[in-house]
Amino acid sequence: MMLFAGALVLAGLVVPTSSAFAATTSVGQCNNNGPGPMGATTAMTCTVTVVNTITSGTTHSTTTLTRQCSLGPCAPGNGTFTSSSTSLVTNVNQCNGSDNDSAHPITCRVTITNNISADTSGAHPVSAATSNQCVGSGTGGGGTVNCLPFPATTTGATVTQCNGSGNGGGGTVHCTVGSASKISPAIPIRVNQCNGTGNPGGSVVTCLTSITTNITAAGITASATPQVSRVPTGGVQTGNGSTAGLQHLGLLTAGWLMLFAAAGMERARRRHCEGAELDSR
Amino acid sequence: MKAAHRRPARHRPLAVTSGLLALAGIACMVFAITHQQHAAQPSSVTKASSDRSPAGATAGDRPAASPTSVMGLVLPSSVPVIIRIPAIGVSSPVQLLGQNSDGSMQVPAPGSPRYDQAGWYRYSPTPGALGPAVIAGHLDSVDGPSVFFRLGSLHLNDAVLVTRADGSVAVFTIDGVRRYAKSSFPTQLVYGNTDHAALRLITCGGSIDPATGHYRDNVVVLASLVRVVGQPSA
Repeated sequence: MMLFAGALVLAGLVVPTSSAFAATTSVGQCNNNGPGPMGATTAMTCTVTVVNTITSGTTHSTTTLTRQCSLGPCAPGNGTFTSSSTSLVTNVNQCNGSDNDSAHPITCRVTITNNISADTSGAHPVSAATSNQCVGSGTGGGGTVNCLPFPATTTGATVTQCNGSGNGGGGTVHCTVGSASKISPAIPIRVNQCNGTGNPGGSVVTCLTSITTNITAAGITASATPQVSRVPTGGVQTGNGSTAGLQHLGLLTAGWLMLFAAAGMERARRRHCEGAELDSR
Repeated sequence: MKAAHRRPARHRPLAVTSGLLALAGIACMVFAITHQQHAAQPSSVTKASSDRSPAGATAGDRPAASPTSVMGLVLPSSVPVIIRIPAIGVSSPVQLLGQNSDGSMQVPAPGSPRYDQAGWYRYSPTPGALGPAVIAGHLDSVDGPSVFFRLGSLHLNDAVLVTRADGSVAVFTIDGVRRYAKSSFPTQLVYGNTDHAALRLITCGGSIDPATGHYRDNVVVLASLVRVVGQPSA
């Protein structure tokens, strides 16, 4: 996975960036596919799934990229790839300037989950993600634009997608930013996708972005020192054994002796009675 | 006829005495049998090797490397002073326990006035702090049941309350009640690092080994901190 992450960096797909809060990384996928050196496109589905985690000052991210082509072979780089990093993924660039050689459906999806411990600087306030999408799109004759939210023209938005796309005749643009998408200042997310894409007539551009931000209970970093400083050997001798076997042995013995004595006395009394009767005869 | 009538009267005191003696004997035996006390035991002995280790724990007799993250509430260190387990009627001061010269854990000393009190192993974290706080207590004494006599009858989610020197009360709930042969005591499970504030209660269990005069097993109760009552004072 680390090799793969390194390969992505070399290919310009993962680019380390900087942030006032933590080391950050950009992820790119399915950009500038056809026409051009990357070859002609085919129907394509691209997904980026990112999980960013900040716990007690430590950062970690997991990124999963998937690309599938359904109408013909894609350029190399198909399949599903997962990588991990101590840098947070804050920028995702996907499906920009692609599928411009012929009419194909292109579907692109970005799903980001941020888990931030409550004691992280800048964890709050959590706010709704802003959008800038579907501006100058679907302008060809008979085009369809189906975007949510729409209009969405925020400058410097969290999500900038589907602008200048689906402009061929009969082009269709479906783009959504998840209504529950939230961001935190601790992880300044930027998503750019599906801009200048799917412009031949009849293209179908479908793009979705979803950002979930969870503020988790504060944790503390465990020290490397063993928590039990001296480990005892063996088990623990915590018993005397008095309740393991027969208890009240003295009382039992006394009871038995009393019964024995009572039986002896009764036997003696009867013998005495029988002797007295014989004497009287 | 007169003599025949006098004979039973002459022997009556003997008959009454033997009858009373018989009744007393029966009463003694009934009392002794009905007042037998045996400690509740978890269902069966668990092999330590098959047990799930705490987070970050590895095989071996040394504590494992620390976990990378911490789950849930964790309190600053403060020694325990009282332990209460309402489900089995335990309320005991907590004394400090160290190690014997052979490396085994000390237990409340026989003959000591504090024999029937629980003890905190002072080389473990304090209850509520990160890691496994260890508290041991005797199952029985020469006089009968001791402080942890009913430990084995605890159930999941029963509460254990530990009052600490800083005035706070760490409230734990039980995650498991298990019995282990002392010959395969689960050292890592009991003493290994955890990713949360944990509590381990230990007493004896099983049957007596006639060769050693000691119980063959240990009952181990695993618990986790769920809340704190009162603020820890500085």
